[in-house]
Amino acid sequence: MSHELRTPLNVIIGYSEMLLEDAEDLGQEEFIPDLEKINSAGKHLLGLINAVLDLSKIEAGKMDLYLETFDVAGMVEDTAAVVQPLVMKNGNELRIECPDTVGSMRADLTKVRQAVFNLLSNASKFTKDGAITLNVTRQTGDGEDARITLSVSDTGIGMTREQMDRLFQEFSQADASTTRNFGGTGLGLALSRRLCRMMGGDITVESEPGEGSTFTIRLPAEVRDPAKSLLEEPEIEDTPPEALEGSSTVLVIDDDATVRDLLERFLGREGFRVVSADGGEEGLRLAGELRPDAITLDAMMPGMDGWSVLSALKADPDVSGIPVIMLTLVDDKSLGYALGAADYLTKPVDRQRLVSVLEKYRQDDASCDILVVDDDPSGRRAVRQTLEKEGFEVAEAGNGHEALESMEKKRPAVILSDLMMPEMDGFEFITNLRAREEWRAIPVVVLTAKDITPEDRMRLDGYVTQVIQKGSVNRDALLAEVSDLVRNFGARQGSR
Amino acid sequence: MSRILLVEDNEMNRDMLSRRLARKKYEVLLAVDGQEGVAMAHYETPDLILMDMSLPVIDGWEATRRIKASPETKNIPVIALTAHAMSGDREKALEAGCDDYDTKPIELPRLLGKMEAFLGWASAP
Repeated sequence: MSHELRTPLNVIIGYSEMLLEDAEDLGQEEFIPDLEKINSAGKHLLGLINAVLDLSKIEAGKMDLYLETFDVAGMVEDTAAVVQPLVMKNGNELRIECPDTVGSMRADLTKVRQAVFNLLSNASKFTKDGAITLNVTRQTGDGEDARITLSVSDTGIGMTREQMDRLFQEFSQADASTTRNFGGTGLGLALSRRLCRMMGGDITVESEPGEGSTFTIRLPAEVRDPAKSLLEEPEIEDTPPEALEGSSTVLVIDDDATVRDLLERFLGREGFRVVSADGGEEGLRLAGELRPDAITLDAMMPGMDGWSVLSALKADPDVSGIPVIMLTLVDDKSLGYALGAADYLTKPVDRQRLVSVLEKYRQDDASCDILVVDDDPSGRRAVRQTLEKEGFEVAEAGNGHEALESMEKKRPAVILSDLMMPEMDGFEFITNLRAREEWRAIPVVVLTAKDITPEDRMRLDGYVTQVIQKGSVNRDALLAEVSDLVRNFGARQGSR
Repeated sequence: MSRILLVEDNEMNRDMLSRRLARKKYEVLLAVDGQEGVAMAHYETPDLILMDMSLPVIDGWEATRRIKASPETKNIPVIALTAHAMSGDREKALEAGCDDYDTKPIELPRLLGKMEAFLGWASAP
């Protein structure tokens, strides 16, 4: 999405800039102001798009932090240098108060810089022939973690209480005419605050109309990754894992010792016997030896990753029946499609492969009904022709709804289904299909133009019973879910 | 005259940047995907590579890793051209072995500054 929006804009900005250079070289001065308008409108729009995309990324929980340790004074100096032209534009003077003792901090450098830049550029916009001061301090309260404070004060127009209240709302500057007078997207401040909050800090403001404003960024000197921090709060009561005789065994495969420790303690307290492995190979070995009742598996591990471990587990008939719970940081809203697809074909469809896949499902009698579900009529036709030549009976449907209707009339032997379709897509269709007892056994071959990710594949294979995100749920919910799942599996295993 | 390899799949971006660089008296070589970029880095040994990151066949990160893994090309500076600083592209580009990065839309004076830092003022065009 982002790429599609930015590329054409980059072209508009780039070519208008080229024409500006041309106009200057050729002495065509009269074109310059108009070209500048195209260029600056393009840049404004790009700024808006970037901010909207960033905000939506944060909202979707997809904005990652890249933590690194950097020198605060150096960061401040760099940012000030970038903002200097903006400061001078309105005849302002920039003063920096940053003692060397501030030292370094650990945070996402790009995001901190972005927030500081935003405050400085706002101050420059709303102040004329005045002074902008950036004051940087390190605060170490007793017992508290050290914090870095960066505050930007200006001698500009200031704000009323009411204006301040609306300040951090998206698309809201002090009033609607502000954008006209001062430019800017109205999103910068909202975005900067979100970025600071992601890092465990915040932005606050103090101001009086006519008296200037002070915006203050407060950040922990050591920002913690929120994805990890959920597993770093060791506030669980420490009860020794008392493994009961005959209790279910859970194998925890995770490279992160904190996660292993946490799951061991929590599941142990719930009465499970927990064995853990710190990597894929070790996990596979233990799975074979112990035949646990359930396995929790981290998707992201160095060396052999979780998906490879999962494939290996499912390829081994001795352990393939053990339910696996994936623990993953990968954010994906199409969670939990344990659909049980029989096979995959990617588009454009290779005819030979199509026929050979379907031959597997053809019974001894030559006729075999196939339902082709695809929203693209020409794609359907091509598949139909190929199959009819091979003696299959073919019915067509343009989406999941039509497919379900068609099946009420005639039950196909095999279904060939696209994933991306209007009205009812392939995932939903297969879910509906699986909900009906009499249709559950019909093999579904997934037909897709979409690049199937390893996760999608596992989901479609019905391998993954549940995918849990470490990052988006809180620790208790995560643990409760793991515990529930393990319990259910244990029960199912026992009743087999 | 410095020889610059520009690896960029978007035709207009390629046209734009190559023409602007040519005007600044650089010799510009073009590759349209990561694989071609790696190949041309080998047989053209340019003085510097400008690498778009989202490329077909193999992407810019992988292309950079390959260029930096090969003894013949590992000393050629690679500047990543990323869409947007906030997306984490900067970090990923530096991890892949890029020597520097710049964001699109290209601001020519800024990019030229970064290029000259590698090419050295002595060989400046």
